[in-house]
Amino acid sequence: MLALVVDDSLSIRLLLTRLLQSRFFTVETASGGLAALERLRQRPAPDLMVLDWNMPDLGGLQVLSQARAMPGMENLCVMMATAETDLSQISAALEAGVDEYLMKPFDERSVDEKLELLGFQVAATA
Amino acid sequence: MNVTAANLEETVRAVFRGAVRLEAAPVEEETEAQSWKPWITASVTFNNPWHCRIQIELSLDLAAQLAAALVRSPGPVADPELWQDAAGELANMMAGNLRPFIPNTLRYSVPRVVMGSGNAGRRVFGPSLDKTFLLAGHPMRVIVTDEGALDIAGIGPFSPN
Repeated sequence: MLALVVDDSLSIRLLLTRLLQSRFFTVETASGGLAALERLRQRPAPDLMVLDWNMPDLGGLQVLSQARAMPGMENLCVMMATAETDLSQISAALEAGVDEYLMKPFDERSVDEKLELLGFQVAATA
Repeated sequence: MNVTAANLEETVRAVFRGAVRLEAAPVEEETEAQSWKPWITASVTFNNPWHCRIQIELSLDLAAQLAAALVRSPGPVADPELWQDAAGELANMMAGNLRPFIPNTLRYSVPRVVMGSGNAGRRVFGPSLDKTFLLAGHPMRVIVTDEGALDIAGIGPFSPN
């Protein structure tokens, strides 16, 4: 399984890479929305995109909107990982096509719960 | 809706417990910044309808420790870029988790991080909540400031309901 982690924070990219690799994902990263869209135009397509909300070049919702319009990306699993806790914003994200919402700060268990909800097997390595 | 000292304390505890598995214990006495220079200052600004800033100040030693814990590194992290990034991300998490206490906010900025001694990142204008916490024996100062430039309706983060 291939995951694309999109976050302007190096720390979060490292953390999610570590967590997802230990759950048998191959992980690629993008440090911004524009880089993520560029990656999504290439193949193979990821099975999962973990997407930050608040990025300096292009926000997560804009990335999602443009990604969903790409051929073959209609069914891409998208998990929004963000510190945004406002319920109206969460609703907007879900309406925009986010499949799951991961609130920062998150831990291994909350990542596993979201992956399971998305249908991924999450047996972690040590 | 106001940001109270209790809101701030609860948010700091939750963010640091969740992100880096450390207990943030509030301290009553102001810790002299001089004793933990040089420091990193990370801030996030809410821009609507007034200016409100969330700022954390911490020593390089603590920033290094937080960076290692945040990325679940088994050993020390020696990369100052990662220390700064981790401090910024923690400020970002603070902002997102404080947002429910700050009314009518449309969006907040990406983190701004300043590293070094001196006052470069320490500007505080307007009414503020200012609290120092201890994490793993290191002090960390958290400041929420109502900068109030657009506070024409009298509904800043510390205004009465």
